[in-house]
Amino acid sequence: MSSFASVYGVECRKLLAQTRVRALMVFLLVVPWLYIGLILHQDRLPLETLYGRYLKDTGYATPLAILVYASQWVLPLIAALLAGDVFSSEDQQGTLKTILTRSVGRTAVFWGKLAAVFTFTTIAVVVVAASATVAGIITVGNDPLVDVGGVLRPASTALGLVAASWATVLLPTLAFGAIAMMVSILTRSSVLGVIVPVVLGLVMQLYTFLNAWDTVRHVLLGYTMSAWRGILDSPTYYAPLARGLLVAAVYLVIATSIGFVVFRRRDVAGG
Amino acid sequence: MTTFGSRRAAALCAAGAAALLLTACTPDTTRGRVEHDFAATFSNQYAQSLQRQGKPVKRPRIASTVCHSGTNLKVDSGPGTWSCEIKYVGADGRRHDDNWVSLIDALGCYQAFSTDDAVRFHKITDVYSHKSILDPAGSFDGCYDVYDGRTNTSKK
Repeated sequence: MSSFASVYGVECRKLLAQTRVRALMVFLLVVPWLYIGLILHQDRLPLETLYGRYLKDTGYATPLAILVYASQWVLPLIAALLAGDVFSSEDQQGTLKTILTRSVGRTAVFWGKLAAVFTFTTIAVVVVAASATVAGIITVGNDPLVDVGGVLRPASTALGLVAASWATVLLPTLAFGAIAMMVSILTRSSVLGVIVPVVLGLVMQLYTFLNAWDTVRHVLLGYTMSAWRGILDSPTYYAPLARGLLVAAVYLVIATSIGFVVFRRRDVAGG
Repeated sequence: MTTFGSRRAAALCAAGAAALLLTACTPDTTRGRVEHDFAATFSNQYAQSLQRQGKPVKRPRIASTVCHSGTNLKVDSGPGTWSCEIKYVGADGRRHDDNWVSLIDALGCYQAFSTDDAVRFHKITDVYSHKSILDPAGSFDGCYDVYDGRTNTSKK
């Protein structure tokens, strides 16, 4: 087994053993059911939210309405909780020196940890998306979906559109995870590793809703998180999504590169 | 390259990026985009309303759509409350001159509804799901492409 695979396997087991990670997965599994349950037991609909008006019409509106909320603060939080202390916890427990003087190199440790965190982040996004979709279909029904262009899409197409919409937020979520890891490496603090990406996400979100320079908004991760609307329109357009994914990739590459360089140069012998 | 040279290059890049950000100031929300998308989405929603009531699907013949920002008093751009007047001939052959409100967010999406509450909150029975739903011809959500070429922001 290669060094990378060894580290990846160990890090996955470590993440899976954490109560926080398990609790997060259960939370993501349960919340969509609570949300649609509460909506169905009240008269009013959240009309101010995209797809809020369709929550009682079709089950496919549930994952899309939840996607609107999730993209604002839940997804950055998921990424931060999973990635924010993956390196700094080694510092705090004094185990970094041990693992870096064993047979695996720093490069393998870095990429193994990164791959494990990204795997769990992807699983978390899939869990909430799948749970919301199943909750919507079971409680509301497998009815056609109205896209944002006003065209009725059959249920068979709607499922694909929902899946594609959730897939588009994966890259910006991973970018938030890369930022959390970078902060975790730079500061050696788990608290900052979790808080900084969340605060950064909220600041980006605040700017997104300000009537300020649109060009700045386009280079924020929060904007990429909402670019899925283009694939649900009639006619479909992809420019916001294509540019947004490029922006997310830039964040991801820069944060990962900084984290990698700093981790490679770290002086573990000196503490 | 010397340290001084690297710093100067970095400063030039930063200044260039800042200048690019400040000069590329075409607004996302323009009158052209709002009018085009509102008319197209209204047409689709109107047809969908008929379809879901089990009636023959017929699109409205739209004569004109005029939208103005009620938030930006200088030019028709930016998010906020917009008013739209749409003139069309309906499936019944009658001429309509309806006023709508669009609440537009900064991301290029909006909630549109008729200013007539009887139309806005009108409910129909969906022939497919047999559920009572809000009439799509009275209120709907929409989104537009903020990168398309419809950059007109004239108030006239």
